[in-house]
Amino acid sequence: MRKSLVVGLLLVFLLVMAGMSMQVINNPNNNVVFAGAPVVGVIEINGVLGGSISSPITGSTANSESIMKAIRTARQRSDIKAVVLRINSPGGTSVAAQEIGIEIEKLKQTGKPVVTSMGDVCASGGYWIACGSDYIIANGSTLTGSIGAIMEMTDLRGLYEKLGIEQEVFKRGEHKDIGSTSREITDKERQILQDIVNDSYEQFLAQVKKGREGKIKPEELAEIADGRIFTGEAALELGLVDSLGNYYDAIKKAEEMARISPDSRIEVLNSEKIWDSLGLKVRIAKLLPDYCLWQLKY
Amino acid sequence: MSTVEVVYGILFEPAKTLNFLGREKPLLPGLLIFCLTFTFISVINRAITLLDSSINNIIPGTVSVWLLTAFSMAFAYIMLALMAGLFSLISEIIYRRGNASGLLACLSFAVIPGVLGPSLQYAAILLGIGSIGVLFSLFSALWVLILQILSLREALDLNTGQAVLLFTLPGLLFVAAFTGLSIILVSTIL
Repeated sequence: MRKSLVVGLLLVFLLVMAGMSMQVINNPNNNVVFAGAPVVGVIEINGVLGGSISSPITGSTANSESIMKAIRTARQRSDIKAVVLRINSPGGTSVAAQEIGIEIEKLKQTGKPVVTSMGDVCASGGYWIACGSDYIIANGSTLTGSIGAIMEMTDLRGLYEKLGIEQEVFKRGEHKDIGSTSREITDKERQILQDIVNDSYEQFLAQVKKGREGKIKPEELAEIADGRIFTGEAALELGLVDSLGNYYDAIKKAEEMARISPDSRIEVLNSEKIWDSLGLKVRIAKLLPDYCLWQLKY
Repeated sequence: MSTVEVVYGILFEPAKTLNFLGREKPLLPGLLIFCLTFTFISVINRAITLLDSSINNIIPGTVSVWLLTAFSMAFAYIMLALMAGLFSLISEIIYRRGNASGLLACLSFAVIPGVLGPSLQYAAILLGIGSIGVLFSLFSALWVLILQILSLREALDLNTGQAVLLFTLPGLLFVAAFTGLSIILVSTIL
């Protein structure tokens, strides 16, 4: 009788643990932790913003998909009380910045504070993302700003001629081959592309105005939003950032804003997997040169 | 002895129970218990890695826990059979006493306390005292190790000293062989 009771109790305990484990395995983003220190989630944004996956072959790229996934995890996990975005990026594609910005907006709607900690560079698209956060901390020498939009076209006719390459285009639609590298761009096309860049620039400006509302006047912003870069100190004077400090100051600020104890657990939500660092996720398409692709960049 | 009595015995009266298992050789229940224990440990350990971001990196999240368990269980069964066969063979050579199937049954049941470590570690993580949780896993691993030595002692009818020597002998032989080969290799190069 006693033996059955002991084994039975042990079995019940093990089954409960197994059940809870299966819950975590099936839904890893909804971890249940009954007690212990709250978590400050850190999301690292390193390198040029884009939709592709980083690897030693293609160079360092801040993959928007994995960053968005990390932000979603921070939103869904109840033990994460605040988020620090550690940004070290010179910018990248406008879509990558916007996609990440949208996820940050959703995260903020849950009431979790988002603090940006700028690394060496947080410019252009990196600054777009930073503007979505509640508080921005830069280092004195951080390079930031670069509020502007850019699209680059390359005329490769001279090269094609040297290589003996002749391109023949079959198209329906006047501007279907806009931006072709094998012919001169027309004035009309130049205007179309400039309109796109202007539109994108206005979107960037709107993002900065929204994110820095009350911290920088629109007329002052218009003066400096010409693509120039600033040091962290200059950015603080202009109101582009909120204070100067390092990564740990950002963690502390996040804890204060979330009103959690200073002994919170820090968890990097998108730390690089061993497999990624070995370059096992290289996509063949990425081996194509970038000029083949249409990219509007911040 | 019923299965409940065997499970209880492994935890609280290991010598007597392992002696019984060594004589009766209940291979099928033993291998089934081993399978269940191994699956349980795999599931709990996977949950622990998902909760602990510092070790989460080692296994890609997309790899199915069942696939991992299946592969590692196949490996574990091979290791279990190898252990039983090898220890029995060495014992037969040194002590003139062999009992491979009895040893296999004993070693299969000896893993039972192994479920306690990861379970208690997982409970500790859930309660926010994960830092001490790893001690439970270490303790249960040590418990299983002691039970494996006891299995040798009871299944092969040895004394404790002989069982410890037999348990460490393959490791010592491996180290000796490795050292010998290294010396030969280095002397060849020089």
